[in-house]
Amino acid sequence: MKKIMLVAAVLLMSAGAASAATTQKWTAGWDNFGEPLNLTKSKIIWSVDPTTKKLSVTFKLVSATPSKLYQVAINFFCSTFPPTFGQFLNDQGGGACVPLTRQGVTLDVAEVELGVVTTDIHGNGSFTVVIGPVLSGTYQLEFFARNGAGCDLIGGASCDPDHAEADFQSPGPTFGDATMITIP
Amino acid sequence: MKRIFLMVVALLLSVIAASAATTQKWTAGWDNFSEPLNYNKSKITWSVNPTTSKLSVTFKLVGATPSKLYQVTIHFFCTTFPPTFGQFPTETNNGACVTITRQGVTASVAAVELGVVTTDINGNGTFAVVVGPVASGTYTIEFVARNGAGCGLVGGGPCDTNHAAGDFQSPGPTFGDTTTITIP
Repeated sequence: MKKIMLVAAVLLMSAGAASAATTQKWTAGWDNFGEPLNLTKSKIIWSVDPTTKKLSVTFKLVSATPSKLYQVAINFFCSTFPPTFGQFLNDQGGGACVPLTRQGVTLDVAEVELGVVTTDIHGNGSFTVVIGPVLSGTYQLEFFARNGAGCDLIGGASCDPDHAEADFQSPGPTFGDATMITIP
Repeated sequence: MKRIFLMVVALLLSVIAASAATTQKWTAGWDNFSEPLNYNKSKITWSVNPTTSKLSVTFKLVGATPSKLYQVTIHFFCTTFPPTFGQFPTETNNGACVTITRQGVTASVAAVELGVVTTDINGNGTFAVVVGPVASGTYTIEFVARNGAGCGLVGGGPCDTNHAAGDFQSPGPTFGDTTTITIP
């Protein structure tokens, strides 16, 4: 009986470790600051499974523009970056990170496109992605949602300012405000 | 004790009813027939929650074109159709379903754009959506994955032949092969 209790406790603890999630809010920008969004109800939830080295991210938008595609991506703040992050391509192809200036802040970045949030008639939508296995390390990053879909992916709009611009960033409110994610 | 047992059984039954899922395969077409896909591993899983009148659908693509956007839709076979299906707008001619011909089959349809599957470097991707509450009824439908993203939505590519064409259909293999979904 004691052994069963111990096994149950270990199972519960491992489940807890895998599912401990961080929730963070969206903020406006870093390119567009007039795109509608309920900043109180919209959020990003992410968690790391230390066993599988997988990062799960859910992007939730509430009261954005109805029936619109928002491509969601990660900007990593880095000096060099591998060609992939999990199973997704580094837009820059790997190697030296590229300087980018937004909101008066210049930083070297690598970008990874994860998918698309499609909104309904209320402007609500969500998208969940599981990335990995990811190389062990500590990543300084900022999530963002573009003003359309197609940048560095086949089958969407052209990657012009209209579609590439960031409508929402997280954590923000300023380009470069970063979240730290550690993959053990 | 008997009452508790009955309650547990009722709870279990309701959970089973809500989660009973149907899985169906993709087939090629109805416009493009050479788009890569692992048809054995790719699938659509859907279920109806009779209590909430919500339809849950998960689209899974395996071995498709890497780093590509596939907009996923439902085509309803109909004569007339309401302006919305759950929280998504429908594409009709003022309520009248639109006649289209594919693979030599002519039928009247209304389309609903649900979201986008974004593939990774291996051509794999998933997208899950919960639609509803949906008006009670029996719906005769076919799922489609378009050759890009943007049709009927803001922020994507143009709704031209390149982006709108059906790469994969389900059930198939012929336009007009249908699935029946009943919302009680």
